[in-house]
Amino acid sequence: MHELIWLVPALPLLGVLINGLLGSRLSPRAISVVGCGVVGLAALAALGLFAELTALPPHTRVLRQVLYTWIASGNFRAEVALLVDPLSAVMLLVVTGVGFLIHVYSVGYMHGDRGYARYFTYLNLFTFSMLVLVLADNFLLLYVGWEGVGLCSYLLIGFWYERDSAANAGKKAFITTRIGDVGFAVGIFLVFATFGTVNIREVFDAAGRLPVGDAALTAITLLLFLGAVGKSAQLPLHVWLPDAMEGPTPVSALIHAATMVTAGVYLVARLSLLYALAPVSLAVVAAVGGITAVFAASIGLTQNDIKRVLAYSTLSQLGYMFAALGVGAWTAAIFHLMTHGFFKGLLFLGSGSVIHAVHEEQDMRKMGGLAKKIPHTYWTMLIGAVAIAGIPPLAGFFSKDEILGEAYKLGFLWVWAIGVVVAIMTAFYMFRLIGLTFWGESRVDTAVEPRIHESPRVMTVPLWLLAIPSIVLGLFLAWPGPPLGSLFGMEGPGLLAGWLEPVYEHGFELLGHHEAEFAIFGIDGVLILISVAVALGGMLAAWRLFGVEIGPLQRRGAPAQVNRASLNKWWFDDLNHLVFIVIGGRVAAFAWWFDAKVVDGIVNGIGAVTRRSGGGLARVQTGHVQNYALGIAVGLIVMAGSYLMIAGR
Amino acid sequence: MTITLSHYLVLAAALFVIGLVGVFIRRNAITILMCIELMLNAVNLTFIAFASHMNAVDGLIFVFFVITVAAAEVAVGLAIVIALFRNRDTVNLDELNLMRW
Amino acid sequence: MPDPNWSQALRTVAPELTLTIVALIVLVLDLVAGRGRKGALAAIAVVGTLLALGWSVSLWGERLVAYGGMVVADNYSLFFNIAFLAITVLTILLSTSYLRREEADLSEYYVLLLFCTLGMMLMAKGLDLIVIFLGLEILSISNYVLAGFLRTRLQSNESALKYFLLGSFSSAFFLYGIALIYGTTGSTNLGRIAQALQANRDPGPLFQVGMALLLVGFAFKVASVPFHMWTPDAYEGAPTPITAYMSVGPKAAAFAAFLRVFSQPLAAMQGEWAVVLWVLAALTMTVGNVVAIAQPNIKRMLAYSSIAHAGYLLVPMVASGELGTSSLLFYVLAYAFTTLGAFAVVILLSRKGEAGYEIAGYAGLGYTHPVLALAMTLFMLSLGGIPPTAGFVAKFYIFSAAVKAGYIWLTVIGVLTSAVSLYYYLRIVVLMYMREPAEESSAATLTAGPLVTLAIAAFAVLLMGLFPGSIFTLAQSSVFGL
Repeated sequence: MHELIWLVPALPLLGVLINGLLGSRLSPRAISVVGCGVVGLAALAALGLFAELTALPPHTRVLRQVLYTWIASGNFRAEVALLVDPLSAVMLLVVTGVGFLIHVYSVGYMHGDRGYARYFTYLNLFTFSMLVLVLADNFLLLYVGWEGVGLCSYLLIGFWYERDSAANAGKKAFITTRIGDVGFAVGIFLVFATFGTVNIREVFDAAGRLPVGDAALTAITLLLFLGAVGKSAQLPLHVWLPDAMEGPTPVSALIHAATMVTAGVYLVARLSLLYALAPVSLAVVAAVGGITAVFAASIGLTQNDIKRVLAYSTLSQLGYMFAALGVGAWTAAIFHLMTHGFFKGLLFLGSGSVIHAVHEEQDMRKMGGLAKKIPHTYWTMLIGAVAIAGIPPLAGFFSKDEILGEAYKLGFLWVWAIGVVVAIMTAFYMFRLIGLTFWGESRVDTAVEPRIHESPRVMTVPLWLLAIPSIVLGLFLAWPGPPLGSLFGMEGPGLLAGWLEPVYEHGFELLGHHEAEFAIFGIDGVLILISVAVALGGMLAAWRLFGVEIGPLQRRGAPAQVNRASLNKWWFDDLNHLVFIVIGGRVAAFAWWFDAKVVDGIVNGIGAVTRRSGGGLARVQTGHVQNYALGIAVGLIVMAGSYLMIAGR
Repeated sequence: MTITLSHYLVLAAALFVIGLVGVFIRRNAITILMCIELMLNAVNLTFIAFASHMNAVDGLIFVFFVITVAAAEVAVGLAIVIALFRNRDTVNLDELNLMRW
Repeated sequence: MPDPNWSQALRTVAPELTLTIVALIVLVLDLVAGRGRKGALAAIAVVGTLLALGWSVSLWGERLVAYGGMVVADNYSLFFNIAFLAITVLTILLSTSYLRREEADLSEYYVLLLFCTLGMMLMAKGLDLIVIFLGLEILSISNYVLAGFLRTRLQSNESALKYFLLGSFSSAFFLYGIALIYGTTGSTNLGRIAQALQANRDPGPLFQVGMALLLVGFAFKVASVPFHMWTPDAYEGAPTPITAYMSVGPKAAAFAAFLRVFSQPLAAMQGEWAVVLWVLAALTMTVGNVVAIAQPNIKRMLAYSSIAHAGYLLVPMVASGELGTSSLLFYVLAYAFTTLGAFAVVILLSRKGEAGYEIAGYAGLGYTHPVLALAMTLFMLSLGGIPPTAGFVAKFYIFSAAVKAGYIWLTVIGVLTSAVSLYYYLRIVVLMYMREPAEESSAATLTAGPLVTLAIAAFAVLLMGLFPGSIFTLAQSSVFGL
């Protein structure tokens, strides 16, 4: 089977060729069959590879296929080689699995769009590039995938180019991620200059001989991380992601939530060994991740556009993953990447279904009371929200709890504290979203109100198919390890931790990590209680503010003192108001201002300055031939003069 | 006073610079063409000075090449100027900025 | 010194002789051939060029020095010459239908093109500054005429005059440089200059001024900032196939001689000159790319883009060494095919009277001419250095060479400016796919010649992007002759 690794990326490429070249002549039905079929087949192939990998003993779980030698010059070789190891296999399943469901969903969502073939061409091209990125065995091929996903993202954000906002969003995404990509490219050149190879495993071998904290390693890891910051939209290069929501919703789900934006996380995880050798870079990763997590979540508290809330939530969750990577909790980061891919994909698709139902309205202030009218969407989104909030036993709880627990136990108290704050904010804004959208009175436009309808089967089925893993995936991947396994007296690491162990054990050794005793009735239990408590707290607070007209406690006949407390709504609403509206609102307003004016301003400024200076420099070109001659003479004098000065020294 | 190599070189450099300045300050295309010719001839003088200083012939042969090349250049240059003059009735370089920026 | 081995001497310059004879045949046949038969003359020119190309290929692997060490046929010069001849063939293919449309279908065009190529080949083969100068002048004088070939068009006149005045102006500098070097080292032969420099470590300021003057001449020809200002005007006004030719052929030829001159006799002074080249490279990459952003005319945009690429080509010159040289060779080839391909699209979309060059006119091309748009996308990605195209591999090579040689900051500038360049390259892609076609949609007139060029270029760009191995091996084996 391992000679067939190439099939996995080749299938989506086939889709690109068919839909790209013949798209205008094919019926929409044929286009969707091709577009979804190739990704489905790729998912099956990925499953086959996964099965083959599991059959191998843990430490030999590497499949490698060399397609051909791309560049060979002297002692430098770069091969087009695909690598499947436990880490890339996990990513493979996420990309093809979530990707397939989103392709299917798109059949319904994009129905009747005049760019139908173009859409599937881009989406398949994206899947291809993402698979190349994941499977790459060397930095150059990784870069190929990296540029490819960036290009597709750019094309898909601006997909509805008739809208100016979409075109501008595409432009912004382009400029911002470019900044990161420059760092990434320079990082690769430095890798080549330092190690003389671009093969990832050879780089690992060579890096192992360098001392910990080596300057070159620090520079390389920081530069590569700059690429990750751009691609995964971390502070300060995050500005493009919220605007990227101008693209079609399935695109937001696939590219800007589940897969492409996690490429940065994957990159750092894949290169964890290099980062383990560069403690400074690890600290930077943790800091950037932590700051982004809390910053983005605070903006999410007050957004009214349903997709923007989810976008800021994505930023925040990605920050979580980077924070985890930075403290060395690599398994936990990948765990969260996986669960997040499913529940955030679900939430985005759900929001797309909502937007469809209320006729392309994205403002949550014009929704409300939709729960009964679009039940499938409601229930699946509710599952997604509970999952992301971190309520057991849904998926988000396990991965988030593992990050928090690891951060605490590895001594990164500040990361843990940020994590807890973000957890409460996450629960709040998610249930604010659910409340504003589905609960309470309808605020839908009266013209649209009677025409609200549930989405077709082709859209709701993928929702449910994503909802199932959002419920069980965490439990499944954590079993039989902590926390639940320990409760039942099981031993050993969880499924995912055990699976990824061969990839990480060397790095863990370098960091001096050792298997910490898991004490469900000790510190770990307390940590779990705290994280569940804050999640519930945030949820409850949102529910009180946005969920109900009458507090539930008042409905029951309650004792007097309880009643009085209850009349004051347990003073909860006051506290609630203070914490989330007054304080939270201020923070959010500040963060929003900072984001919109300062960071955005800088990014737009860079673009504008470059354009202006282009126009300005062009004015030197006066059209007068004698000015040009003068330029030559002055150039000569300056050059010869400075040369004689250099040589004369 | 004997005339040394340096004298020739300085003379040639002076001629070169005169040509150079002419290119900057004149406005007539033909005059500029002549200034460029002056620069080329200054170079010829340099070649000859060096060649006779070193008692070598190759420098002298180069001069023939340069004269030939200069002749070809003038031929082509004048043709271009004439073509321009037919279309625009001017050889003033200040009026030649159709394309810029 | 008469060369005793005439047959070897003839073999050394056999491709050049072939080209000269074919050019003369075309010139003579023009008298016989009636109007409207010029297509046959173009065919003869193509055959002759291919013949010279075949000759060059057959010389591969040898190192023939002839005419008292003035001319050499080594892999280095042959690599360039094969590239030049291929460029010429593609340019002729671009030209025929264009000339007919612009009513300038004269056989002198092909003769001049062949002579221009002859000059380029001599520049690559020259081991003596005088031969290089003669090559440069043969190339330039033919090129001045070609730039002004549309006699009745003002832009073409202006382009030719500007190019001519500045070109001969810079030639004077170049020649003065040769004179000073000749005077201080006693020779114009590169090998003997190198010997003289080895014997005398400090050749004095006069020599250095000579080198600086020589550098101006080369920097002018490759269009490096601040000696680039003629480029946009000359390129914009010239007939489009000639613009395509000028932006690849003479530039490559100048680099061929530039590199030979600066790597052979000056090896000892490499470190000091590298600083100057470093500054030129950084300036050229920056100015070229930044100014290109603001251009509304595609010919002018590609002119600035060609300036920027001269900057990228200077990077391996700074890096020098074997990797530097071979990456430069690779880059020249990748750039040549990509640019010729892009110009093929430009020519196909242009209209009679040199119209149809506004970038805005490319809107919606993805719907009206999907194949052209796809090809243009490929070329733009390649120029921007995006995988999996030739341009990406080429950029990777030159920057690797720079990093290996320790020029990290130059690489940073290079990567940053290519990020800037993507802005204007991808703007065309976006226009083609993400805008509605304009009202008065410019219907492309699909003629065979440019389409063939387009197909060959696209094939080469993809081949060099996906399977660069063999070309790079060729480039490497061309270094050792140096």
